[in-house]
Amino acid sequence: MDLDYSLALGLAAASAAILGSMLGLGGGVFIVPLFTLYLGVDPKIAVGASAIAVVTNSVVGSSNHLRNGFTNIRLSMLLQVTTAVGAIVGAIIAIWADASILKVLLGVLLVYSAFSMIRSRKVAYPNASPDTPDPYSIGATFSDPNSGGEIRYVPQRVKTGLAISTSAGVLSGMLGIGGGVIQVPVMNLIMKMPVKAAAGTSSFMVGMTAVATAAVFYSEGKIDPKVAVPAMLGVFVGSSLGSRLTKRLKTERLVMIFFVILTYLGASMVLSAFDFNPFG
Amino acid sequence: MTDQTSTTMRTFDSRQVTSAAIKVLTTGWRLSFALVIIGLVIAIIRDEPLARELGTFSHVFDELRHGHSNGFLGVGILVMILSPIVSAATIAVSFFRIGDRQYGIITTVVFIILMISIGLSLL
Repeated sequence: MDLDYSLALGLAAASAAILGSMLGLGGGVFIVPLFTLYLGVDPKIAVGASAIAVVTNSVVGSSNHLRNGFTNIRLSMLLQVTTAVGAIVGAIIAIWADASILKVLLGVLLVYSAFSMIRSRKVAYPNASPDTPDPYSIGATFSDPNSGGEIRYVPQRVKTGLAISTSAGVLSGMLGIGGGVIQVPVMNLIMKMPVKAAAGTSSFMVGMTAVATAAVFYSEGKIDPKVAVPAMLGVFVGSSLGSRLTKRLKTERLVMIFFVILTYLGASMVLSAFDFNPFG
Repeated sequence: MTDQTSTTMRTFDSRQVTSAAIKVLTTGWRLSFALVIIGLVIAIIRDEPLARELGTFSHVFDELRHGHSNGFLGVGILVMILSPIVSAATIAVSFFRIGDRQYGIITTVVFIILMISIGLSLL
């Protein structure tokens, strides 16, 4: 086995996971651009490896979120119905789509993520009262480690959430990303969930969404162990490091740095789709 | 959820559901990483080239039976992929056990959709 190449892939995946976990985006958003732009991996193989890495990140991370009570299992299952269908459709489209289309889509999504990060407000909501209508029975509570208090919430506008989840699933399926880029803002800003609950619920969901993608790519022979295994291990190490680093670094400055990184990677992906390599 | 006519916020005793999900996910990633590490150690010691694709389920398990690195790596990856699906099945059973039929059914639907994606991959 080519150890140097595997190490390079593992390091790239670890870097992607460090960046992703610092930003709360998961590693998937960064893996495909790093693998394709810097390491010459075929875009479809990179999407397959990214899907495996996203599943890994979700399976490992969700155990912690579930223990902390941040994951709303009922809501995740409700939204997963439409998300998983979208992911299957997206993965099938991705198998047949031209690789340059995937590059352009991912590039646009990266630039969108950069701008939404700058604009994100991360709204906090008051505790839901016991009389808050809860027709879907998805109200939940968790202990906030920062305030020490109990947070109660009832997700709102569930039908809108279901509709947007379908498109998050399609994009996840096409690009091998987790979909947290879309799900977390939707849950926080539209469904009025606390950020921690949105992140915990999204983290649990993206694993199931990426399973649908991984399965379709597996059937097409696009899961290459030479790429997928370093991605799995790199993401495992990187996400643990990233979550520790996040506690020590100031968020405001990081957001500006990552805005530049995301925009640069996004623009590079779009340009590379037109055979213009900004790295020479 | 035990009373579906209620429309106000209620808290549920979902500890059984949560702990079932934690058990499955934790077992899944530990088993997956153990298999992947064993596969990598075998590949390095025997200087075995890694496959460019996983191959069919039967091929992967054949490789594992013969102690080849690609078998361990392939099954490790498959265990990771299957962990969320097994967790969906476990969560569905747990919902039914605590009497929450509605979310038991919804989770079963999610499980079926995920199985369809696996089924499509076997066609």
